[in-house]
Amino acid sequence: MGNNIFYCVTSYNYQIVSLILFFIGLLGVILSRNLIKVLISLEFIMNAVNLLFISFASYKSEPSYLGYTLVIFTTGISALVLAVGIYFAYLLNKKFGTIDVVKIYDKYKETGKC
Amino acid sequence: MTLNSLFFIIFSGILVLSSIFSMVSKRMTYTLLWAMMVFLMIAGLFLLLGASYNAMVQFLIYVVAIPVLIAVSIMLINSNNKENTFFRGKYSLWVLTGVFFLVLIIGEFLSLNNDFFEIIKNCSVYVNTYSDLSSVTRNILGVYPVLFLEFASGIVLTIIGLSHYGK
Amino acid sequence: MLENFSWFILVPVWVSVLIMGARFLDLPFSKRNIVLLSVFSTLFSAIYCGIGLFYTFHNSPVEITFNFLSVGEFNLQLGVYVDMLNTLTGLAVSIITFVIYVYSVFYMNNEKSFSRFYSLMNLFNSTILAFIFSPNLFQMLLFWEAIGAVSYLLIGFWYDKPKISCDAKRVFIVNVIGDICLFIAFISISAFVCAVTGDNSLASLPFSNLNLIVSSLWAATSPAFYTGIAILLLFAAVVKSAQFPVNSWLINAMSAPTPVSALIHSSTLVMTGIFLLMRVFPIVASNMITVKLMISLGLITAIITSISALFQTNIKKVLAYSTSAQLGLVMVALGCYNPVAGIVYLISHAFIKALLFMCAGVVIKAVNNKNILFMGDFRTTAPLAAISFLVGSIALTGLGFSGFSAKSLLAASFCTSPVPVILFGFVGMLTTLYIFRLYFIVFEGKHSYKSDLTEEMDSKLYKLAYSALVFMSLVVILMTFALPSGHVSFMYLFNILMIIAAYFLYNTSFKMKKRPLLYHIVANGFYISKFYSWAELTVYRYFSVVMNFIENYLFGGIEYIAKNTFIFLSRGLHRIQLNNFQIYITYGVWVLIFVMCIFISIYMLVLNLFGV
Repeated sequence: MGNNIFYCVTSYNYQIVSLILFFIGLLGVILSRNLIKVLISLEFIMNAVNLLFISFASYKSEPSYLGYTLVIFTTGISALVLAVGIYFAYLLNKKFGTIDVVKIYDKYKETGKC
Repeated sequence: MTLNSLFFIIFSGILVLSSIFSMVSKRMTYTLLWAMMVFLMIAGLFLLLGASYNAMVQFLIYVVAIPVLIAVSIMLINSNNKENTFFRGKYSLWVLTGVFFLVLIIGEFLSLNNDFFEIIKNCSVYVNTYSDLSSVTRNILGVYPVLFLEFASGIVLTIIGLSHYGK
Repeated sequence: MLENFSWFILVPVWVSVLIMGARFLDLPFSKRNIVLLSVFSTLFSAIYCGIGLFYTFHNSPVEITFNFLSVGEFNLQLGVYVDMLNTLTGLAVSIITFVIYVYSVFYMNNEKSFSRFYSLMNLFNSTILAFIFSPNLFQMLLFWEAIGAVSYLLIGFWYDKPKISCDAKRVFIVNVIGDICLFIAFISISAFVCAVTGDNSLASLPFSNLNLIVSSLWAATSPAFYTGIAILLLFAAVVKSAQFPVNSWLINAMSAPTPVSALIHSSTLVMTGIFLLMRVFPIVASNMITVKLMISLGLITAIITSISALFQTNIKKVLAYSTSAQLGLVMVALGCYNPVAGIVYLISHAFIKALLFMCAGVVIKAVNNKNILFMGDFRTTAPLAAISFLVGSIALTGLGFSGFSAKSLLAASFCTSPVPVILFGFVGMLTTLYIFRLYFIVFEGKHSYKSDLTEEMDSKLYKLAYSALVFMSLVVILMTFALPSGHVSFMYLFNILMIIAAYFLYNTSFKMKKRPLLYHIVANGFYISKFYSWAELTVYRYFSVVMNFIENYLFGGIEYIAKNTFIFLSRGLHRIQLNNFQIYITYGVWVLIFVMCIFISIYMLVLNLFGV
């Protein structure tokens, strides 16, 4: 009965949601051809982890602000990663004329240099 | 059914659906919009969990700042072409099966041991008696056949996938 | 009383450390001070030994021990044990060391590392004293090793010369074989005795309880094992005393400075083997196989080395062969259950051989060569050395002085059966022949060196050496009155005949025109040393052939398989390296699956084994 979502929401439910989001992000990272889409998928993964942190921190019996504090850091860092990644994407586009990863690899194989 | 659980169901449902749409959509602008939706829903879940400050930060960074950045980059790169970029076809079968098995195994793990996350949550030492599991573990084979089947099929699929690569 | 004075044993160590420390810190520490310190350290130990000797005339032996090493219930002890044997040997060692210290001033005067020499000599003195005064076999083993190490350092004193350094290594390696034998014997005896008696205080095998140790060892072991232990002890002594199978190391050790040869390789170091046999005499002597082995090894050594000594041209090698021969005779005396004659002969021989070596050192220093063909007519230039050498020779042959009574005592122990008596007489005759050969060639005979040596040999340094020689000869002469008087046997006549023969053979400018048939065999010491070299080379060669085969075909095959396996695998892996980050993440996912499967398996296994 405790696990029944219609009576109360537990940490377990949040974990399931986080898991689903994580795997959607993972699939996006692996299967996307567009580099910007890959970066957005990375953000999904980051957010899934953030959600997990927050849920653990909230459902802990004793109050602890470590989880909340950590999430702020991860948010900042993931935003930074995204900014740098987008800059790289821009550079790649300038060089190869595309940000499709498969095409970039094909061109790399042809020319032998990046 | 409390208000909390109702909001949880709404938020998480929108989150999952919009993340799938974000990945499947053919235009980059739509991807971005669905991703904004996902981030917004996560901010809502943070609010539900009582982490209002985190929700505010999430909103400011992910729903306001980053989409602007991405939108500008899409404009600069000019990659808003209408093309299906999600399913590569080449190794999507392999990846999807891998992720499917991973989800299966993790779900099995969770179902075997509901207290697993409780233990992490309470940070207590692993001392417990698993009366629920006794029905499974008393059997000599237990869940091993299932595990073995999953593992073996995973290996076979890996080998098939590897043999198709590099050709 | 003895407890308060037992720190005298440690004085040489302190002196050694002091000299070495002064050298390292570059302190102004003159040669005079070094020599005075060393001499006083030996005088301290001599006083201690004298006091101990008078004490043990009337009292039972004293034992002072402390725990050195505690392993579980076992306590290994060090300390001091004072009885007659100890104090007699210690007194002899102290007096010889004292004389050698004075003599070394003459011999090592121009040496750069004068202080190193004295430091090492002091170290040797301390180790030999600690060995002699050891209360148990454990301490004996420890200082047995230490003596070997210090002896190595002293033999290789001029280590910058490759031949000398090589000789030092050879000597050390041969000595280590004996060390290992003693070590195995000590461990076995200790284990058996502790197991049978259940008394852990016997772990370090104290000599005060030797009867209990022997009886419990006899009870604990089978006869074959007991024989093995006794033979190991015997072999350790044989190695240290330069007996038959391994007597060649003493010849190699002659590349040391002459004072070192006089102190270590004639009197003290070679004495330790016999000393060990006397300490564990009940263990060795209660086994007939070992006793027979001891007698036969001693006799073989005595004969072989006496014959070899006749044909040497190196003056020090003659004396070294002579030392081996005399120690062989002592070993036979021990085998005939006459340890008293053995120790008396050993001590008198130590003094005599030190004296002979010192005389040889004077001559070697004068002509700067060890070959006797470059010497001659030293009677006129160095009369005191000639007289001292004559005294030493007469004592060594047993014609007079301390050798007379000692050799009579020794001869009495040979009277068990006719064969040893005949061989003893034969060895005695050979001894007379080679020692008077030396005397007639070196001190009489033709004047074959540069003429301006007379002034040099009257200098102050030589006078110091002569005073040491005279002191030593006086000790040899005075020891005659301390020993019981011997009796004149028919061997006496043969010895005199041999002196006359030596006079006619070697006094004139004698040179062997036609060498005897077996000359090369005998002059090379029956090729014992060369046999070891040859055997070592042959064994090593065939061993390396086998190892080469193993390396090429066994390890080479393994290497080939490993190499080709990885080449094959990398050909496969090369195809999946696509230089694509997305495919690498996919591999990561599969690795995650694998790891989680293993985790779940382990988790379920733990639940199955320990869960409810």
